[in-house]
Amino acid sequence: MAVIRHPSRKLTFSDVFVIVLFLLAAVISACFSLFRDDGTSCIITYGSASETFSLSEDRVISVLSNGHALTVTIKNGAVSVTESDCPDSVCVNSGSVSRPGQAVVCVPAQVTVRVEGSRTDNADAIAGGVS
Amino acid sequence: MKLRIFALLATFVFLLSGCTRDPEEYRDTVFFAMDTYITVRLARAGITEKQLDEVSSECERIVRDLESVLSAHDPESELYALNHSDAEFTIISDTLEDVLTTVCDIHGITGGAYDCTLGGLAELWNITGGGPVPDKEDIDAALAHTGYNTITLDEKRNTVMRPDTDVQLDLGGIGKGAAADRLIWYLETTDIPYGLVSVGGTIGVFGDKPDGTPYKIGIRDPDDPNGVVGYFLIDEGFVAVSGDYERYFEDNGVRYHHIFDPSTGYPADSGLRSTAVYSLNGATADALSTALFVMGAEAALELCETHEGFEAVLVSDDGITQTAGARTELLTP
Repeated sequence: MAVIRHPSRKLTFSDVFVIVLFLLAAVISACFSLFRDDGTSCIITYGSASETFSLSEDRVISVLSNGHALTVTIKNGAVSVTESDCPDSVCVNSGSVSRPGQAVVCVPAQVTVRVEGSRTDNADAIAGGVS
Repeated sequence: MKLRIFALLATFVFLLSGCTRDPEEYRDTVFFAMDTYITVRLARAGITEKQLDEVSSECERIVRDLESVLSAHDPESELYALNHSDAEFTIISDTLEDVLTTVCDIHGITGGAYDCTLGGLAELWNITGGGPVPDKEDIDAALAHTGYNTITLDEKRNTVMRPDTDVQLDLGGIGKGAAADRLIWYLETTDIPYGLVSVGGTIGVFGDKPDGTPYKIGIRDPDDPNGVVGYFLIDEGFVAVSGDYERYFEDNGVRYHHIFDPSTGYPADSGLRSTAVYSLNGATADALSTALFVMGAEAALELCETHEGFEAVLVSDDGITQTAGARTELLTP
């Protein structure tokens, strides 16, 4: 008489190993997702050059570009152009930006100050802004 | 059993890891032109770097070509030549004729609320140069050489009649939209499957996103450069915004912005802070956003209800209103 053997329903050591492995991967992945360093840096582009600064550290940066002098200020996690000798002051009027994808632009000086990181608003673009 | 646990946990890991946008999905090309900042965002999707380079370069060339026609400040531009000509009768290029055709259309439907003949007035105010506020007599003198009926366009003969040669055309209120039009027209002929352009904040989109969702275009909050008041959800077309929040100067606590009311010669005081317009034509969206800002909420909504082809979101200190049927997500009622 043939005997049909059903596989055991009990968790084996290898099952437990796989579960622990995936749980560990999940937790690590979640940590990366939750604590990723989003929006904590800004890239200042002038001409063909650029510099990156952390937004977590307050500082004042002078930028000379295209015959104009700008003062870029990083304060409390936001960045703004606080002074400019450009003729239109649109960059100063633009205020502070801190969200990834947002930017302040000075057209006469040809300078962009862009916050880097993953966008949280899920917008493809912002009309009426420069991002 | 093992397989089921594996599948379950794999799903769990995927969900926990979050669905963030792939930063490599697009190639962004940015450049300064037309007195503004331009972004061309192209989907990489199987496109070679060489093709992306070629398309990006062509986009820049298209904008610079248009700038050489529409710039009011470049002594080499066609518009500069027109403005500084003593001739009452001028033959113009197809490009300028095309833009002026849209100008005339918008002049007509807005009763002149959008007026491209305010070049002299804008120069007098010198908003981006910080003022000062001109004398009333000077404003009235400048207004004497404005008005959308001071120029006549002959579309068939590509000519402009300008009997009063002191009338100065300023196409700043339509140029960004016209550039967005030309970029999207070109991009639709390429192998790039989808993407968008931003010409100083006037957005144009092309192609279908692979996930099938519409493009979500934020409308900037006039009081917060980090914020939006809502979104247009669009599959094609353009979104343009006019507002009082970037190009202005202040004098004695009063903000003087760059959008003039052609009937007064002063910055428009309609109660609106910004106007966002969606249209299938970028130049139309751009010019209409200016016109609606001048007209005020009530007249703007009436215009939108009596004409087809565009939708609007109007932001005032009292709140946000929009045209019926507009495909939007507003963050506040």
